[in-house]
Amino acid sequence: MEKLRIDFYESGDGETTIITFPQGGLGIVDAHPSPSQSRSDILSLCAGKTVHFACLTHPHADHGVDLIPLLESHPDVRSFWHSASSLDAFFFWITETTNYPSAVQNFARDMRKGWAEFLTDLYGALARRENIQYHLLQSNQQPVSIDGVEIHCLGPDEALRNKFERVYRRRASGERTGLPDPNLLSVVLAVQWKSSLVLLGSDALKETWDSAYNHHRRRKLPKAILLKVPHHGARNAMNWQRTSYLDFCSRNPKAKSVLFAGDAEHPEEEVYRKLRERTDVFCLTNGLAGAVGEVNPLGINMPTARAVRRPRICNPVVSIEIDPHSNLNVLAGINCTACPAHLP
Amino acid sequence: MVSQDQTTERVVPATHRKPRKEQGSSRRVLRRLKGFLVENRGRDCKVAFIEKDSPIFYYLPSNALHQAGITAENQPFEMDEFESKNSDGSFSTGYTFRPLANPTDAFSDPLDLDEKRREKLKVILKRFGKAKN
Repeated sequence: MEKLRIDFYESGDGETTIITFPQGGLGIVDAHPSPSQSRSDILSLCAGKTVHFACLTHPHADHGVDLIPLLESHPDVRSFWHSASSLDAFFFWITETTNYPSAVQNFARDMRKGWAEFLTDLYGALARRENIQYHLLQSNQQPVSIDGVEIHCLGPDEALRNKFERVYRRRASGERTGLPDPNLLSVVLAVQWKSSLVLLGSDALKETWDSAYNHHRRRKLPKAILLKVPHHGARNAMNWQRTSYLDFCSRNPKAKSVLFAGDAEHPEEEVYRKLRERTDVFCLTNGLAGAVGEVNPLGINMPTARAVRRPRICNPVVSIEIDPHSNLNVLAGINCTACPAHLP
Repeated sequence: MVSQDQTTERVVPATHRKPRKEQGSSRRVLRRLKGFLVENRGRDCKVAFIEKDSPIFYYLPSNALHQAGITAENQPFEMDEFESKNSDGSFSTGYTFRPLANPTDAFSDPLDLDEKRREKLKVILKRFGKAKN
């Protein structure tokens, strides 16, 4: 029987999602190396398989570092999906930073440089590839069909993307202007197979979900049986007054959700509580379950001062298979109810 | 660059510290850390302190930084940890923040990519220039 499989791999501070389509080809939605080596390298995972698309959901390194070796070395990557447009102005913007004269300015520059190097390596690998299609993602596009699976883009809207373009252009012409949060470029992918829907929320913020809800309704898509929780379970991805991404989720059967915490500060406690109420949660990492490293290595005696730390790994991989009748089977990973961390 | 009145303090009672003999000054700087603001994130700010030539990332309460005029990404600051004597003879530890540059001192700092990446950038711009996007 044909099946749709989704594998979510932890990396402690980044995300990898691999879709295996019914005919065996792959779709890669973000990829980040695993420092704990709890998964094989990306080229081994994709060896011998057609990669229908490699998708960078938004231009942040924790979502794309492992797309570089994929684009450099995998012989059969058919298309690259992304949401960063006007690449000339975009690269002008990322290869300079706003800095201040001080003794620490080199460190501030180096932080930005790491990000610029990541994007230069990624798009450099892409530019050198022949026979690869580019697909700029935005919500007004027709779905892409692979092996009978339709992939809809529910966000970002073109208007939002244009807002970024305008800022890049203004920066390129010498105007000093702040940039909107790059997470606003995060794509929301709705993967539909027969009557099942999988929602991959990347780091999409509530603004994107507000309009994604309308696109979901207009396209008459079913409720999701599987959700990749957006933005690491942060508060700013959820609309607390109106419709939130949880309203996309099926109640019967109760949808499953997959969470990448990214750091020890995530998920936000109230978001996590709501996730537990509405979905069956599987965490790759969860900051509420504990963190790695010293809380206060500099010994700063100030309330709430704490070091940035990595979250504890709950599941190195969560693998889920869906059959044509919408039956969902968990192949790897334990949910929060069964987790020994006993989170509330 | 920065006016000296742009400072703020957060005073935290010292723990496990015995009263000491009266000294010349009621406030003594214990150490001075330099860093910069990485990200404003609501109640907390993410900052980088530079210690032994390496950044150590921390979350600090936003109000302490904002009250001192430290509000912009990459804005450098100093944090003094000081000890002061209370009226009952006990000692408290406190922190003073001081921006090392104002938001108006900002400049555009081009990143010095290595030769290999400069080449990549040329290839990127050649392939994905305006027309193709």
